[in-house]
Amino acid sequence: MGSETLAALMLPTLFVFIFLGLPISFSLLVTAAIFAWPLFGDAVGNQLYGGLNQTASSFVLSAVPPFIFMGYMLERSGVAERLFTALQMWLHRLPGGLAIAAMGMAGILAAATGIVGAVEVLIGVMAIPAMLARGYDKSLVSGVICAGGSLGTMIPPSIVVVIYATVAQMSVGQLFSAVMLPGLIMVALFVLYVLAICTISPKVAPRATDTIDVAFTEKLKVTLVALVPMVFLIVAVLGSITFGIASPTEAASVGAVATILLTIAYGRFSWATLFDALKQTLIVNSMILMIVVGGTIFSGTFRIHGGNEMVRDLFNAAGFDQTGVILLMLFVVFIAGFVLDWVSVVLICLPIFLPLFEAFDIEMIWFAVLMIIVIQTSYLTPPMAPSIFYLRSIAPADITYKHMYMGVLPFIAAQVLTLVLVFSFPGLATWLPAILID
Amino acid sequence: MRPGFVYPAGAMQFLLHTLLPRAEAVSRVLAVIAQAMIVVLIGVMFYEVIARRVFNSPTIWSVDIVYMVNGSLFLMGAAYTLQRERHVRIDFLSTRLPVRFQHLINALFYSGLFLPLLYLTTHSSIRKAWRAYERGTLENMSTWEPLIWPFLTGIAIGLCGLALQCIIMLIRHCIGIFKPDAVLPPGTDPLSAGSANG
Repeated sequence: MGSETLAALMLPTLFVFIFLGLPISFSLLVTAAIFAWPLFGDAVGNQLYGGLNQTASSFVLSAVPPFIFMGYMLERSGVAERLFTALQMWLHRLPGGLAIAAMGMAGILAAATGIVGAVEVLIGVMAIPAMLARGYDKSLVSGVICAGGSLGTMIPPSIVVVIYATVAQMSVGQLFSAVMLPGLIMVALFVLYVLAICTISPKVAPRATDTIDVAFTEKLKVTLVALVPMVFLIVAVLGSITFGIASPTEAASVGAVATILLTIAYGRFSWATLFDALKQTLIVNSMILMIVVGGTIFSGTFRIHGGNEMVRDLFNAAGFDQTGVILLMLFVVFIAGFVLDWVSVVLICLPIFLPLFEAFDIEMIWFAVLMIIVIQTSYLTPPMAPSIFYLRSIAPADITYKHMYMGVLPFIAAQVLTLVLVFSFPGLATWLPAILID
Repeated sequence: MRPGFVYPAGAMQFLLHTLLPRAEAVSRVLAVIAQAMIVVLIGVMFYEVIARRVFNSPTIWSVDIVYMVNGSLFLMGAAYTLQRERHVRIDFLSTRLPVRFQHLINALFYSGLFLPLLYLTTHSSIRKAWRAYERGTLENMSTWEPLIWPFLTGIAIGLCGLALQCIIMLIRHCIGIFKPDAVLPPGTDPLSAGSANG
C-alpha cells in the first residue's frame, strides 16, 4: 500500500522537475533515485548503474547513431535541391504542383532519414521561397511544410520507431513494416488534399505561366542523377531491414557510407561537413539515449513500487473495455505530446502502458502504429507544435502564426483520418509484418 | 547584493573566461573521441556486411564491438551535450521566471540532487570497471567473449566527464544567481548565443 502511494507520486514529482525547466533526462534519473531511496538507500548508485548498463548494452539502440548520421549527411549532400528540381519538372503542370513537389520531397527524405524536424527545415528552406514567389497562399505553404516535415516521425527509418521497438521489446524491422502502409496512406491523403484544394480554388496556387519546357532527355538526366540514387538508397536500407537481410544497425551503417559517397559524387563533400555531421550526430544521440537511460530507470522504479499493477487495477476498477483503454491511452499520448518531446513521450508513457496490453488483450503492433500516428499529430497540432516552431525559425516574417495554424488544420484532419482508418482496419498495420515474417 | 560591494572583478573574469573554459576542454576532448567512435561503429558494421555478404565469412566480434562502442560513446558525449545545453528542457513555463530564479532552481537541482546521484553512480561504475579488470571478467552473452573492462571503463569515463561538466554548470548557475548578466540563461547553447557573453 505504502509502496503504491509512492508509485502514484512519481509522475507528479517528475512533472514538477520538468516544468521547472530542468533537463528531462536528468529529471527522470533524479525522480527515480528519490523514490528508490527508501528501498535501496546508498545502493541507488548501483541500481542506477544497472539501468544505465542495460541501455548501454543494447545492440538495437546502436542503430540510432548511424541513422542520425545518415540524416545529417544527406542534409549536407545537396540532394534536396536536386530532388526538388527533378520533382518540379515532372509535377509543375499539376494543380498545386510546387506544393506536391515539396510533399514528394518530404516523403522521400523522410524515408531516408529518421530525424524529426530535420526534414521540415530541409524542405522549408527550399520550397517556401519557391512557392511564395509563385504567389501560393501562405496558409497552404505553411501547412505543406509542417505536414511534410512531420512525416519523419512515421515513415521508416524513423528513430521514433527504433526507440519504441526498444522499449516495447519488439522487432524494429517488424515495426518498420507496420508503419509503411499507414505512412503511404497519410502521404497520399496529404497529396490528395493539395490536389483537391488547388483544383477547387485555383487562386491558392497559381499555375506556372512560363512552362519550363525542358527537353525530355534533359528531364531524364536530372531525374536519374537526383531521384535514382535516393530511391536506391531507400529501397536498399529499408528493404534489407524489413526482409531481415540485415540488422537495422548494419543497414543504417551501409546507408551512412552510401550517403557519404553520394555527397562526394554531388561535389559537396568536405572534411568540415563530415565533422559537423558527426558532431550533430553525437549531440542528438547523447540527448536521446540519456532520456532512454532515464526512462528505463524511472519505469524500473515505478514497477518495483507496484505502479504497473496500480495502473491496471485502476483501469479495471473504472470498468473500461478494450476500446476505452486504447482511446484513453492515445489521448494521454496526445496531451503528453503537447508538452514533451517525442522521446520522452515514448519513454514515459509506453512502460506504463505495457502491462495494459496483456490485461486488455491489445495487439501490440496495431497499438504501436496508432500511438506513432498520434505522436506525429501532436507534433503538428497547435498551439504547442514543434512543427510550427521549426517553421517559424525558417519562414519569412509575413507568414504569420494565423497562416500556420489555419494551414496545418486540413493536414491534422488527414492524420486523424489515417488514425481512424488504422483503428477501424487493424490489417493496415498488421498485414505487412505478418506476410514478411512468413 | 549590498550596494557598494565591490566584486573581485579579476577573480571572476579569471573563473568565467579562463578556468571554466579550460575545464570544459575535457568535455570537448571526450566529444572528439566519441565522434571517432561513431566512425568506428559505422565502419565495423559496414565491414561486417561486406564480410558476410560478399566474402561469406561473418565476424564473431562485430556485434559486441558495436554495442560496446555505442554504449560508451553516448555517455562520453553526454558532457559535451550538456555544455551545449542540448539535453532537452521544457522551458515554456520556467522562462517566464526571473533569470536569477531560474539559475537558483538549476543550482539547487545540480547541487542537492543530480550531482550527489551522479557521484554514487560514477562511484559504482568505477568500482565495477575496476573489478572487471582485476577479475578479467568476460562478456558471457557472446560467442566472442571479450573482456568487458574496456567497455565499463568507457562508461565510467563518460560519467566522470558528465560529473565534471555538471560541476562547471553548477558554478555558472551560482554566479548567475548573483550576477545574471555574467552568464547565459539556463538552457542556452553557448555557440548559438552569439558573442553576448564572449
